[in-house]
Amino acid sequence: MRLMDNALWWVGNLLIVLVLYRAWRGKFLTRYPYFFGYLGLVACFVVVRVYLRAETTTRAFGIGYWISEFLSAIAGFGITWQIYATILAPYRGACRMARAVLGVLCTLVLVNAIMELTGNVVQNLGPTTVELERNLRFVQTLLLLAITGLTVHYRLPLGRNVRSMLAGYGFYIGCVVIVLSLRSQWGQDFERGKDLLQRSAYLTSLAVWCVGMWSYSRNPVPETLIEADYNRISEQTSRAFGRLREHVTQSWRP
Amino acid sequence: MMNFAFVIAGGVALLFFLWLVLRRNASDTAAHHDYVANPSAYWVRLPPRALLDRFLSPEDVEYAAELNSPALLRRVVRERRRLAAAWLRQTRREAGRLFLLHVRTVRQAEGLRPAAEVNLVFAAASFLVVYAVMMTAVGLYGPLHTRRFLESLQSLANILSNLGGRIAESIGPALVPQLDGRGGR
Repeated sequence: MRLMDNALWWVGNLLIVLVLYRAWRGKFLTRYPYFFGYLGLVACFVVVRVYLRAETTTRAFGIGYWISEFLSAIAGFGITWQIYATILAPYRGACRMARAVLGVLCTLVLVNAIMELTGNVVQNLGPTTVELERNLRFVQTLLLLAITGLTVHYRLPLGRNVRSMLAGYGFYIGCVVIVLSLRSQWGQDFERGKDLLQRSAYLTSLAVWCVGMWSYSRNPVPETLIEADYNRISEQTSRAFGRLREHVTQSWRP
Repeated sequence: MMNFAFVIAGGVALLFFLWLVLRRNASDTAAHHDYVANPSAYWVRLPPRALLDRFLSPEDVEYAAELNSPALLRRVVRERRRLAAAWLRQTRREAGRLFLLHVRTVRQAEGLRPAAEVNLVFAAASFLVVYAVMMTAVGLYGPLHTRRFLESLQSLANILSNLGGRIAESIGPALVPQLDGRGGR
């Protein structure tokens, strides 16, 4: 089992490095700054944890581990923002609204975590981070649900890069939320299964990103934005539905 | 804090929507300008009412009943039910076409208003409710009985409306709130 854990750890790290290398090589690191920023941060934390484990005490490693978890959980929000910003880029109004909603949600969760931390910072760091992570994951689930719902409903065009970002991160978040809930329901017996499932979901996401982010693919830009036609179209559809409903009920009357 | 079933449902819904996003055909970014440029796309296209009157007319059923052949009568009734269901399904398809047309047209609109979109979703949902009620009635009672039921419902509504009018008259205009010409009180 230990060998498998090590193998999964190595594969995960290699995939992160590969995604970052391909982006650097293809010169599109700056196209998705929040996404690659998150990956870069995760890569840095791997190095820091390895150093702490090798060179310091267990207590120091524990503190370092929880601080890095805390920062990763917050940085994870960056991917959600990257997905929103890329998909909604041509729609300025919707993008502004999304930015405001995301900002408020993120601030609320952060303030909650800081308030939990006050008192004994070191002692509260672990439980607060777990709670922060759970809250952030759940908020992100709702946000990703909203953007996927909009994408499906309005058939918004998606390029390969953003599609893989959404698929990989959405899959990971969806799995984590389900697994964490099952863990809280079934208790310690599910701990091993939880670890395995979470790690598998993480590796799957990295593999999806690796394939989708292999090279730069521009998000399709809508042909031309409709100018001020929305009201007319909306009224037309409303009238058409009214006629249809009337037709169905009136036609059946003798 | 968070309900277990609610969280699980959120996760499963997210995975389902992701599956929908991934299976979506990339080529469906159809040229919406055709729709915008052509207002006739918003016309409701349904078979004429005369056709519905024809296959809902009781004459054929009465004629089949006169032939004293239960098998033939059953077949006629079954066919009428099938035709009525097909007519209803066609209206649902038309509603689907209109909704899709709207979605494809407005997805790039800059001034998209969420409230207007929610209203349209309600309009579509109310149509679907009417459709489901009609479909159930046709399936359970057949088209002829459904038509008679609607007829009696209409008469009942007329009776109630007349009664309401009489009651209002008997109360007297002084007790009923009046609207002035400008629409105010």
